[in-house]
Amino acid sequence: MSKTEETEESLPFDIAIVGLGIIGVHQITREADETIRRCRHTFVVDSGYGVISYLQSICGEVTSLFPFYEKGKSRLPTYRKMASEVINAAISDSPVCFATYGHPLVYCYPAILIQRAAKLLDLRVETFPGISSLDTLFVDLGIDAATDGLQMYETTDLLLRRRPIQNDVPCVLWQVTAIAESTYRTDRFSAEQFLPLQNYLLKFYPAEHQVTLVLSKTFPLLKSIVETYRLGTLASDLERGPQTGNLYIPPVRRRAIEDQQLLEKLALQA
Amino acid sequence: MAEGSTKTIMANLNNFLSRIQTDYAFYLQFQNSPEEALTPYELSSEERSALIEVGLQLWNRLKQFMPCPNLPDRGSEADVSSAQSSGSNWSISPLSTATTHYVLPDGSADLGLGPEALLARPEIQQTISKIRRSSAQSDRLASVLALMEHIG
Repeated sequence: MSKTEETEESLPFDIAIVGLGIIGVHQITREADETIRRCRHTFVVDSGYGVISYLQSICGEVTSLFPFYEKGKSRLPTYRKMASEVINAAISDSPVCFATYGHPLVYCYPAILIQRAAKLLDLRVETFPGISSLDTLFVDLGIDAATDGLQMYETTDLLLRRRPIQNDVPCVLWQVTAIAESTYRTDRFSAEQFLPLQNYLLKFYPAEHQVTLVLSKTFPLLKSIVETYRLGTLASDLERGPQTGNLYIPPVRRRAIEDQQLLEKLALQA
Repeated sequence: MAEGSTKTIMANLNNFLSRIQTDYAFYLQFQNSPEEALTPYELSSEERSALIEVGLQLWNRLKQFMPCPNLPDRGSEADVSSAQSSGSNWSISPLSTATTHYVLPDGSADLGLGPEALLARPEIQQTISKIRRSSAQSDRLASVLALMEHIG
């Protein structure tokens, strides 16, 4: 079936929002792949090697939205422009696809804007999940997130709202190396910029507590980068580190069981 | 090395990396016997070792191929070796952060900015009318962008 013929099929949406995963083509789900094949135009935000050329091989028209980013400029207008392009194309010639690396509803503001605008303009949207960096973090660390639960915060948001941390529950901090930064930048952060985070975490954890920075591989042949730091020297370690990724903070202890009755019931079942 | 030869090698590396992404059987072949899988590709010795050793060098090698206009310059080989030996002092700024962001939530949930509440606002009604009236895609884009500014 040619790419043109595929778009003749009737799809139950005007806009598909899909996630492309973290390592590129290998993590594009079957669902995302089949959706992109059937869209007339795919708008993509993904810097992964070979991803755009692959999308061009399965979709008639592919536009990278990456050139919208401008160094040192606030990201919000960029996200609005990205979402506008998608909505505008959907009005003219649907179905179209917005494809982004990772999961499309994990820290992806253009997807939120597209959803909001589509509702106002009577455009139908369907969203398809992708593998996020949280998923790959579990794999890189070999942990089961359900055992002791999980709390996760965006790092700037954590500091901004002084959110309380429960130190008996594993914690993931997203975007740990982009603190208080609303512009698109590629230069490195200094230890001083990480110090507020270190100081805040020390309110909940001891200085000797070990935390792990995880940068999952973004290409199949790469190895994920996993570095362990002491919380007491976190700022200087982050300054020297890869300056990207998520921070995993293991619990300092396991919470004691309080409901003895429930425990006894479980024991009887065993 | 002559410029033409360098270009050939770059093209070969490009082809190899593309194939890794799109040909899973070849990817597995490379995992099992990298030397054999690389045989048909004319690569520099540095590229060959970066691919086979799969260390920090490969992160840096890949950066030069990524279709991102604002990527930082590639780190020097000296920086790479330093990072590899010490586990720190990275010269790379890997790509996964390229689109990370923090957008201060606008409080829309608290303010009840659901579709009904938004549609009740005159400026939004006007913008939507403009969008619907525009027949040319290029004319419409400005109105769609104005709508985005109203809603997020």
